[in-house]
Amino acid sequence: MSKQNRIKLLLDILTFAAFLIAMDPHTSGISIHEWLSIAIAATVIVHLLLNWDWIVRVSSRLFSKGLNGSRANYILNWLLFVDGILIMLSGIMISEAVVPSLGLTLPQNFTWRSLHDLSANISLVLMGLHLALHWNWIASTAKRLFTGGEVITKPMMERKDAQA
Amino acid sequence: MKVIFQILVILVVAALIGGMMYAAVNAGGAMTQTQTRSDFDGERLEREHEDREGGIMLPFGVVKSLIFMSVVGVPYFLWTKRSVQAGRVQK
Ligand code: HEM
Repeated sequence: MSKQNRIKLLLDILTFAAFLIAMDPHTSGISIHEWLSIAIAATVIVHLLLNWDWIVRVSSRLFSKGLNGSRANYILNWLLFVDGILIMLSGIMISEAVVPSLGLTLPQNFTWRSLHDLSANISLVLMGLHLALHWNWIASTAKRLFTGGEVITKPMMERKDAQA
Repeated sequence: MKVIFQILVILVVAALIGGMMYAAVNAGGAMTQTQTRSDFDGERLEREHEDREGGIMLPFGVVKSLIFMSVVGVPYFLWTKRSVQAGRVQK
């Protein structure tokens, strides 16, 4: 199993665990919620860097024929990205720990709070679909991580469509 | 160098999208409903108090999130798996 796949999977598992904790601020407390979520933003950037080749490949062939599965996957990933930005932005606008600790005060209003709640709920749907689309990769890579050996690195939809 | 460029691309795209969202919320007149910090904290604390009335502090949010994602993800996974298999059979 390649080192990059191992790093990818471990990072994804950590990010997912942090996401689950971030989804429950009433249990973790608001400080942990905010700082952990900021850390998630950093891991998402690394996640995108590790998958950069796929992003470039599908972006450049987005309108060519025979890319149906990857196209749906690509659109879903964009929605997840945009939703993630909304979560972060609205979170910062209602921040009670991170922003005050920097000595800043932002104008408060209910809209950001509703948007934070709404975008967090939407992220659950999108994350469920994102995991489903990549489940074959996750399962096979996890299996290899514990047993050793080579891994099929492409997600299910991509294997069929994107190699034309 | 390449990685720095890639990070910059991600940050610039995120800043553009975030900027548009900020502008959209402001244009919607949201800033007219400005609240004071204490209004805000007061409401949150009230809700936290309500949340804790049950007595047990289990991570219900985590369980709820996992259930929610499974309800969406599992049928989608089964559906895509079937479509891929059907595609292979047709070939
Ligand atoms: C992965 C990113 C994030 C996720 C999934 C997330 C999710 C959530 C959820 C589900 C709630 C509960 C909403 C409610 O009970 O009505 C919440 C509340 C909150 N979040 Fe986040 N959040 C994220 C990032 C952030 C960030 C970056 C900040 C600030 C820097 C932040 C600040 C807050 C605050 C202050 C609340 C409390 C609002 C209230 O009491 O009603 N969040 N978040």
